Amino acid sequence: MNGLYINRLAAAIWLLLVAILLFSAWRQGPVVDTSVMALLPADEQQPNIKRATDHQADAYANSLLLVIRGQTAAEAAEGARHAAERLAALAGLVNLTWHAQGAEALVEDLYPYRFTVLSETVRERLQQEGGSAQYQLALQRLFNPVSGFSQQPLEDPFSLFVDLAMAQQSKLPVGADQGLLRLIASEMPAYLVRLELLDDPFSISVQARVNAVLNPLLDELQQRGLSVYRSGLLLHASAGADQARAEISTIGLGSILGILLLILWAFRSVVPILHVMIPVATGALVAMAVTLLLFGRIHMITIAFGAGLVGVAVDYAMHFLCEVRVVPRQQVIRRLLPGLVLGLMSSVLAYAGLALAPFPGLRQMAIFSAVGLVAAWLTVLLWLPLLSTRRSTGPLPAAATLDRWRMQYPYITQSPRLALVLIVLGVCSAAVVFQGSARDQVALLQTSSADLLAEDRQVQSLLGNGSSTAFLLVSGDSFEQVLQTEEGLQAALGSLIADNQLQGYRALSQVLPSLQRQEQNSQHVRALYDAKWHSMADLLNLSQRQRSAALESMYESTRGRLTPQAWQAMTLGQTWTANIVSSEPGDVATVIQLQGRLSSELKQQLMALAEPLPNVVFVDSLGSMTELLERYRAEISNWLLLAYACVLVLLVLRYRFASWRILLPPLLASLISFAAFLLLHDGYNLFNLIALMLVLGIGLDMGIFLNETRESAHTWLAVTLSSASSLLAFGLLALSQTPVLYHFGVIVLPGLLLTWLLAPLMREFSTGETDHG
Amino acid sequence: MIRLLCLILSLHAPSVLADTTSPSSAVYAEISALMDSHSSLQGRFDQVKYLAALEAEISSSGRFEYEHDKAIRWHTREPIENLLTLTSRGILSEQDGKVLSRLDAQSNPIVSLFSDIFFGVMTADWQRLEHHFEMESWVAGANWHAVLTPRAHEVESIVSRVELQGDRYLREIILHEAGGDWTRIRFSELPQ
Repeated sequence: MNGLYINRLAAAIWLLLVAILLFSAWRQGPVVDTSVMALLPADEQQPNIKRATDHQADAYANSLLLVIRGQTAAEAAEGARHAAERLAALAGLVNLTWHAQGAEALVEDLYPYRFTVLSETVRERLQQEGGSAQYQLALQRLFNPVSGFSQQPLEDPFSLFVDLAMAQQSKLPVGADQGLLRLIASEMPAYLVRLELLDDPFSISVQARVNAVLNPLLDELQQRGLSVYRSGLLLHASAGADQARAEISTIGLGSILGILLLILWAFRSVVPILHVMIPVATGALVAMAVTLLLFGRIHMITIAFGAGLVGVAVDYAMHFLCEVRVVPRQQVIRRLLPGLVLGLMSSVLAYAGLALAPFPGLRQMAIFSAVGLVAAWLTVLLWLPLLSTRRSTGPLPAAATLDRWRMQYPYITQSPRLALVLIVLGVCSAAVVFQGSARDQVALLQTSSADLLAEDRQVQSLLGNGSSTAFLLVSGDSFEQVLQTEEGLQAALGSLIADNQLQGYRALSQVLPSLQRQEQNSQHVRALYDAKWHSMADLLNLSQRQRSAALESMYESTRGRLTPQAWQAMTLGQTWTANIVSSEPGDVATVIQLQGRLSSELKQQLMALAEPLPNVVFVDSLGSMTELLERYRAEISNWLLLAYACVLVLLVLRYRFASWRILLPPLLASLISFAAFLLLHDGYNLFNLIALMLVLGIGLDMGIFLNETRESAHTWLAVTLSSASSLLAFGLLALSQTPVLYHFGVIVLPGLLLTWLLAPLMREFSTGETDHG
Repeated sequence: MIRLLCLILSLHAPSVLADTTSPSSAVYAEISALMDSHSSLQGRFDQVKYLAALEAEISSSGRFEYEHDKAIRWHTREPIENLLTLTSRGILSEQDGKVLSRLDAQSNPIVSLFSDIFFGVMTADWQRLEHHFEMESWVAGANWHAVLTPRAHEVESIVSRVELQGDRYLREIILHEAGGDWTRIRFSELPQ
């Protein structure tokens, strides 16, 4: 038959397409995101700010830090050595750093620049009283019983390099001790072991390989009585993945089991399970494949919502399976098509709206849901008629049971008292919703546990690392311009430190002065020689030859300049890469890291500091994240209202006055659930609103199908089964530990339940069952 | 350099005859038994410092005083005036009551190590020294002599070798630095 032939061809093409998509995605390999940053809008920030934020985040993302702390230095050092030995097994995957390179050796590279690169304190000393304080200090060092450095009475009589070396070393958070990296800021002896990841921290196989070595090591170190603190994106990613895995295997398994039992009860057979699972699995797999191919990675939250998608996709299969019992097979699709098309359109419309938000997380979710729905829909349409060849017809007992129950259900049109109750309830809920306030916290997006976050913060503060989300961004055409701008800020930052507002800061210009400043420095040094060299030379009984050699060397050295290129080539310079965002000629940008907790008052002052300077921006991405959540919450509430309006127009076009029967159940259910949520919680957020959108989508499906099939018993069974499965799939998210999922599930659970309870109330009044429509 | 070697040899000469080396802790006990213990001490020091870069010596002298485990005040009077105060918290350098520099031991492990070694050497605190140095010693009657070699690289960058000599009191210290500089300090005017 021609029709069958076309049907088979279409099914084969769809099969081929699914296979190609899955194969391409499988070849690319799965990368699961759990980072909060991945949920941030991509093109929301100015490109240069985004680049700086990414740069800061990357520095954090690729390193895994272990701090091993003990009662005594010997124990802690032994622990650090043991850790390094064990972690050596990860060679090829990580670069391990635990040997002290010797800070002195690093700083030694700066010796030729001792007269042009001056430490902050030396600069201050040289600006006062002709540098007499520096002269006295140099004398003291000369007569010290032990100096701790080699004296250079000819090359550096005023020991300028000693001060420079000390200043540079104090900028390094770690010092060499027993050949290990000792954390200076820690009161108890603590050593650092740093792993630089050569692969993506979000890759699950990378996480597994690292954890396989790291976890037993942590146990061993703890048995030795050592405390270990960790920091690194990989830990958060892997904890997030673990949590997702745990929740998928509890909540996810629970919902799948529930759905299976439901089908067994309804169909008294296991075969329909296959018919339901095939479209659902195909939909979910295609959605995952397309998301991976489009975004290159998939967020944990997207997968979790994807698990929820199962619920809606079950819908289409249920309708087919229920109808095929009572309608000739050839007619099933034709009979279902209007409902299926309208249902798909309304759901896809509701989800696709999310893709308009410039939130990559929401966009991924929207694409995932829309693609998954379309794929499941196509699978029902193209494959199910071919798969269900065995003829098992006849009304289902479950349909009869449900229908008997529905027969006793009141009609809202026949019961003014019930109508009044619902109207009052609706109005009251609307009032509560209208009064409800929003609460947009960044903590909502946080997927990591508080313990892990605290541990991470401790490591970062021991390392003297400033916040990676709040910093000053300085940009310009050249390093010279940027460094001069930074130098201009130093005084203001210094006074913020003096006021005990700011704990400290880390700026490139502290270690690499601008050429302008280097010129000033060399003038100061010449002035110092003019004023004090004679007395010094006399005290040392220098010969004439030694005196002129020393002066020669000074003039030579004051002409030398430390260029940014030379600095970046030094090993020391590489410890400052986090501060250099871009070093392209014509586009140079640096970051001034701010240390300690930044109060909102301090943030105000920093903003005021940056305000008048065109090349300086105070970046506070956490602060702006709250603002963003607020903006998108507002945007989505508008979209929700718009979606209701659009759907109403669509419904009125087809159902005219009867449209209220379809729209009212999800609307009332949403209002009541939302009001109840607001009464129990402090405020609502973005994710509650997304849940309301889902209630609308599923509620519409239900109403449309019931109307299209004129309330047939088997449609009622189908919508009951699909609501129950959606409830199991989405509603159970209310049990999740992940705030985003919880806030979604907690609305969906009562929302869908109420929709299902309200929908039969709104049915058209009739005295008997119209079985076949 | 030749002079330095002679100096070391001459210092070693009597002790070589006297005794063989013994396990360190036992020796510490032996030397400690020879020495008077003081909770505080003061006296005069004469210092000669050899600067390798100049191939010349510079001399200085002054007064010192210490309170056990608390503070050392190292007061150079000739040819410059300078007061160095070492405590567990750090190193303070003053001239005529004016602070020249203040180094914090808490924030700088080198300062803390430096201060620890200085304390150990100046007060002949063997327990403190054992932590940082391998020790060889000789005892001849009431006189003793010890040579300390650093255990760790960080210590070696401050002092490469320390020689101590004394009887009831620590009488002489020679500190060798990695760059070839050395310092000889002799103590006198100690209480009798």
